[in-house]
Amino acid sequence: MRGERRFAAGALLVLGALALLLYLLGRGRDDPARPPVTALTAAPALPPAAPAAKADDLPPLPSEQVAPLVPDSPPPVVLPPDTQALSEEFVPGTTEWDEVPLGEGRREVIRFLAAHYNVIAPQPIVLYLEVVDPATGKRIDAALPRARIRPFNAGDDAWIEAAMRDDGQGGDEVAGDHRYTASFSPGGKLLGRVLAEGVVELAKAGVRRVPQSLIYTNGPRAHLTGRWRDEPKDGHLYLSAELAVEAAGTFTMMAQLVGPARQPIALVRATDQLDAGTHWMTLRVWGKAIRDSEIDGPYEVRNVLLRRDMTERGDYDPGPTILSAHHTRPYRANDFSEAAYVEPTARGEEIGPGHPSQRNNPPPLHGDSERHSRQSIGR
Amino acid sequence: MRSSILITSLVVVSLGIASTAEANKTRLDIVWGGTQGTVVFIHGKGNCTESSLGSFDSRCGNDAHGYWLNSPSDGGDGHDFMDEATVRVNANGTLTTWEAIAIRYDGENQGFWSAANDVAACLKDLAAGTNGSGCNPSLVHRTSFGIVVHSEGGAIIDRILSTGWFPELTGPNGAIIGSPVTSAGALAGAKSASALYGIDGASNFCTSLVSWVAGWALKTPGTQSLTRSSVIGEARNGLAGKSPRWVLKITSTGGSGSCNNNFVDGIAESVNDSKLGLLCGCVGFSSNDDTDGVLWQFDTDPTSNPSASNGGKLRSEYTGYYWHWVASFANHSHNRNDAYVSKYGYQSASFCYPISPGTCVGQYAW
Repeated sequence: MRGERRFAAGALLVLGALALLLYLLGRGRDDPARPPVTALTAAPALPPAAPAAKADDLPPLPSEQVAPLVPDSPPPVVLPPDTQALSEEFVPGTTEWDEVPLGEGRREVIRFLAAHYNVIAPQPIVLYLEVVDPATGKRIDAALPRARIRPFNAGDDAWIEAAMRDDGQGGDEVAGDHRYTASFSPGGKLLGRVLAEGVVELAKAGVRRVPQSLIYTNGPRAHLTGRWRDEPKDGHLYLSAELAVEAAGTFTMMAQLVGPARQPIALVRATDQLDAGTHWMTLRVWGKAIRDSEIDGPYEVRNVLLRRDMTERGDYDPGPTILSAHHTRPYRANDFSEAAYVEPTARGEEIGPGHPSQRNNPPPLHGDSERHSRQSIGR
Repeated sequence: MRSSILITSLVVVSLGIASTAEANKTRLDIVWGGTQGTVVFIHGKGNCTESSLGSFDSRCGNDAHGYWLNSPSDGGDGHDFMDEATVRVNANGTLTTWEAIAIRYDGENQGFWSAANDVAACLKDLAAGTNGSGCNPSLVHRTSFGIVVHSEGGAIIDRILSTGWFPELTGPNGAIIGSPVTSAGALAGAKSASALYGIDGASNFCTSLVSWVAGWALKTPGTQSLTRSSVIGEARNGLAGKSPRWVLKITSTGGSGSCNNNFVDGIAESVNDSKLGLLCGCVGFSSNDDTDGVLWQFDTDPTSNPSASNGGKLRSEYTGYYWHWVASFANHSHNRNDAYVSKYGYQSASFCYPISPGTCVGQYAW
């Protein structure tokens, strides 16, 4: 029995080595962008400890060419920018606990969370804090923590502070559960990005502060009316939502397509410039994303977020997240195209450093002769 | 070098943090010439342009490739990430070179979202040969270029790619070509930004590191914006983690030796290296939370191939294309360091060893 196992193990080793050899040789042939492979050596192992190296300590180059340790290349991109594969649902407008150790050598951690990352005035800004022992998973007494908020770019004189409570009131969900809650209704003076701090002061641990950030806005000044329609076209699925726009602007809508049992399929989005009034905004789900999922409909459109984008300053006003927005007709996955997306290529004239128009460019700050690599490579 | 730049400068200049939402200065410089195309380098957290604002770092502020230089004056060995990223040795011993352009920005006095807008405006000027942003007075014009970034530069290029707000750069036929390379990119924020946020108020927390890590403990808008919750919040809103093209990630190796290089090789920046190890112990290291000293691999390593060797974490918000490409022993202080030049970074006559951050990665950005 033991001998059979040894034989099998040996055979597997031989097969594995052969497979690796074929793979490496094949990769060298198949990828013209990679440098040629002329011989094979093992990948470098962890180097042993050595004295601090200096530039002069560079080792001599190998006398023979050896195999480069070329990392795997990613596969081709097969979906367009407006459709991406979804591995599991996520909820826009939320974030996650920021977690830090309570103190050096302490195993407890402080956790701080904004109930919502996107807060639309006049809804309150709600913050949670807890101290958790990771070994037991239990929350412990945090001795009356505090929370404070201010505009992200403001100074320390702009803080608004409040005690956090654990009495089941003022936004706190459960009294005495050691999850502390603070609730702020700051009004218009805090519109924009907001920095929040949770502050814990415990004996032997000192004062610890944990940051969070969130977005406090008046919303996108547009909303989904709740009317949707769906249709297959050109091998893809088109989802259209009706919008009521209060003020013209640039809007981005993002949604997640899932199967009848909430199987994740795709994240889709679209951006349009819209005037005030009622409009339809259309999302395209690239057919291959559905086809490859092998999930038949009806599909559900979930986790929909509408944003007003202010691209000139790199910011945005998000709306509320709609967890379940629409159910499509019962399409089948095979109704959709399996064609991969191919990015259009129509490049114009290439202008680089050698182009006649660039003769007046300032010279490089450093000449080629100064390249350190020129001095060290090839020795 | 990079971390020590920001750390030292922030220790020295700890006051006068600006409150500004307007565009901050950016600068564009051709650092190295080349014949094969152009690679643009975007540095990590640091104020390398706004001398009148807080935390200005003269080393990168007065030298376009200061951020990328492992300066001997800073404990390094003189190696230059930008140089080595844009060189390949040919079989006949000649060099093939790529042009290296540095974009500098202010990553301290504004959130990374604003810094991303500044950088994008400068890149658009480069792509069009214009100077709308003020970064390109010489009207340097490059219709296509690859991208290599480090640390916060990862959050910045990810936002530029994910938002779709800059089609001149990222759309079909946009100027950014190939797969951007992120070396220790803060794609999902930096846990250190959160863990060290309140260090000034802790009576016994990381006391041996207070001065050294002050760069992260300082409450600058740049640091505050790079907390994990901020970046994840942006990703869930669709403004991060949605890159429509592959981003090639150079990450830490993970594991207990990944905090620093002490277990791997001797290094010139041994002081920084030791302190990065202390930092791990101070702010909490676990085997499921591997770190390079500043970024935590599993938090900062959303990836589309989590089963790769030393693969990262598949985060649902990161629906875009993020390839766990090269695992490096480099830590965050000296992401380009002599240990890797001597062990893995050299080039032969026919190829590069891309395992070393810096070595030849510019050509892979194409």
